[in-house]
Amino acid sequence: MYRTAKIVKICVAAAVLIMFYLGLSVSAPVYDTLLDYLTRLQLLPALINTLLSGAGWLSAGFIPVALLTLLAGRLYCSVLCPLGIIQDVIIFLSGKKRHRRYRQSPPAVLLHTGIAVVSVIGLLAGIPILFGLLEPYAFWGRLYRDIAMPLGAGISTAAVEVMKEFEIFWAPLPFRGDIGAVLLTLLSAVLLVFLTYRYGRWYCNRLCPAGAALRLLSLRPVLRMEFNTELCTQCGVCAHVCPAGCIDVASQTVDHNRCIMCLECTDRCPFNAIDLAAGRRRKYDAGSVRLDPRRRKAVMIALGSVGAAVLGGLGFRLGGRGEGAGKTGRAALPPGARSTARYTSRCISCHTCVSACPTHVLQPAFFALGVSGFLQPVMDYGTSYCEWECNRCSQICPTGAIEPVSIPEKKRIQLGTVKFIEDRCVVFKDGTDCGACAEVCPTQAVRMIPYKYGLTQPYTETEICSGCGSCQYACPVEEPKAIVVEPHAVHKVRSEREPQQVSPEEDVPEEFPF
Amino acid sequence: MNRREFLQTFARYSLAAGAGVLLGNPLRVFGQDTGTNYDMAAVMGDGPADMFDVGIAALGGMRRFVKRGQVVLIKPNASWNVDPERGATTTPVLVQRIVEHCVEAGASKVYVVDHTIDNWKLCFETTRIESAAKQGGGQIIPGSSKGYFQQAAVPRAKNLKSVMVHEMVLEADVLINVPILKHHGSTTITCALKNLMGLVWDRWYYHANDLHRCIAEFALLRTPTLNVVDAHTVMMSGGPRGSSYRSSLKVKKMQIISPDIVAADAAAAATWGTDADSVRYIQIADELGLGTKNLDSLNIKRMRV
Repeated sequence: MYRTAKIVKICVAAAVLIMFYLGLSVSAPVYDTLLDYLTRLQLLPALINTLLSGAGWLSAGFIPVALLTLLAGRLYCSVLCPLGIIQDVIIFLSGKKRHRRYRQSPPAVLLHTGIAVVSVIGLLAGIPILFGLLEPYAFWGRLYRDIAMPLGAGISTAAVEVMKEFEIFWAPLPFRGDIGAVLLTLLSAVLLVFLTYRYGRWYCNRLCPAGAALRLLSLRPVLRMEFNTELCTQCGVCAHVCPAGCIDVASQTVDHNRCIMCLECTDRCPFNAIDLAAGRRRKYDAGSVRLDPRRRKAVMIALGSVGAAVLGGLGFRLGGRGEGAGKTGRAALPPGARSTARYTSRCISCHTCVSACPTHVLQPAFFALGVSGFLQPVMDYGTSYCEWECNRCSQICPTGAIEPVSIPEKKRIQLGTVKFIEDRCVVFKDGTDCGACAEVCPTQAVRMIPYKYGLTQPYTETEICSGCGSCQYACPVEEPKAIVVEPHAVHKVRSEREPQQVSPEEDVPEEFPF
Repeated sequence: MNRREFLQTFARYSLAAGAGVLLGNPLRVFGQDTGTNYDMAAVMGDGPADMFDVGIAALGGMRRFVKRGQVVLIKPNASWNVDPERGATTTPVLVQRIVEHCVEAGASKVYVVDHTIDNWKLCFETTRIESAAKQGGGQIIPGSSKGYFQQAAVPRAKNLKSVMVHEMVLEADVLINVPILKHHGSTTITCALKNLMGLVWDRWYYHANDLHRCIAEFALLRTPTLNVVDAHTVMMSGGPRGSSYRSSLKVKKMQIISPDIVAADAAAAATWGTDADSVRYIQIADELGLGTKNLDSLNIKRMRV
């Protein structure tokens, strides 16, 4: 049954995944907007954005998601979660589509909620490492950035070479990054493929913190899968095709909170004995589930875990931890991050900003921000600089770790200040003109003033510096550079000078000057 | 060339020449100059595009520089992600008009390239050079992807012996250099010779190995067929990027067109308010024999529009 519904569901899921992909790879207003809507609908990032980062309730995408889940179970996991959709793709590509055999698995409520509680406590305590590693949107974001992007870059570079022969000149898709982050993501991808190939949606019902939250909301959704015991022969087909392993043929029950509404069981059942049920429980099993001790235990554990997570997190916060706990490192952070403490306790390392940054200055750190800043993006001024007319990262960050700032606002933020080291500079060392740093400075915080022998030397004015890193990147001296940005732990507001000249002055020579 | 190819080519050219004679001025068919032999056109007036029309006509028209079927590469200054009104990048209508002249002269392809300092895509959009070039009938080639650059040996060079250069520089038949005249914090002015720096991959090498000498020596690899200096609105301070603070613009309403890159820079220096001897890369280029900084030795056509 519900073949059409299943096809529609697959189409929606495919469209969502494609839109995620295009939104991250193509920078055009329409794709940017689509990506924006989709990321706002990501359950946990949206929760962090509203509850921790103080974003408006308009962008609180978790409300529609919660309503959808109360209404129709974990449909979210099938059509809105990019990692969920990827797992379905893996299942499809596994080739076992027709013959796959999954087995009913235990609810593992303790394990699942335990992992979720620990990761949420970490998040609230300002150490979102585990949370970031497991959160499905962040997981997907890293898969995109570390696997899809380099692949796209490689393929498009090859395509560019081919197209050149036909006098068509394309620009290859860009990618720049450290091999370490790529390898780490590759490792997690291998694990995910293995788990999914072997056990179906194992990740979603053991490790995923969003999955744990949705299990709470889908204990008894309005619309859910139910057995029709009069028709069921207990042949077991449904359990064999269920990637969530949530169908118990013996007792003819579906564990709704693990069901991701993939509709596979009802589609495959030869007797139409498993079916969508709505509203009140059917007469034949009335009362039986209500007294189910397993369910009671699940509810208890679930409610207990919410309490544990909140109390634990609050405890850490009140105990003086929380924001900026154990942040020893310092690195330049993107405009909108405001402070190391604020940023590191909200960033879940989804790397959306890393993928979207047009200059690729945002790169995942390993320990630049201390251990608790593991994988969080920082500004890598050794390989790039922050584009003056850009605020993309702040617009796209799904958790609000990088707060939205307009371009004029962004231009007033001081991420750090310039520091000129005279005895490393080309002008002083080699006695030749250079000026690479002043050339690129968007604020004139670095400019050239007369030196001797008709040369010019850099001169810095730190109070108007934005800390964009253009000078550091442009400096031709090998590391360590002769001009660097010293990052602030708390972003400041830079001074602005009054414009010297508003409009060009007419100065047409009377005679030709030569 | 075998006999068949020879006959085909002969027939084609005969037909073209015949048609040309029938249709109009036979001299224009061969694209030769019509009696003028100016080394430089200096134009004063409104509108960079109109100024170019007049200037290029005085030099004998674009057909003197672009032959039918040739591939043209145009190098504007699109280096910064700023509006053209900032005076940091080449005026887009000028780029468009030059492209149009090339197309009209029979160029098979007109490419526009720059390895910009800011993000390449943003630069070509914001400076409006992308749309201008396309409107004129040209094509943008990526200038910030390493795959488009090739290592080339620079003959007679001392510092820049070898350089990663955009491959179209090596392939195009005609190179047209379209700089905008500006102040430059370390080289005093940036114009024709300095603009060619946007054809190389590694800017850091220049800065670390005597900037002036590298700028001059690059022209040993390839001197532009034609240089068009946009000196309509000239940045007098705060260059080359410019900012609202500490950057001033002056409207000079000038344009300098010359096949001699050193002479173009010398004239630009005088226009800006300095002289060729105060800008070391112009001196070096003169010594290398890439052109002459001595404007008195040239036949210059001065015009007002």
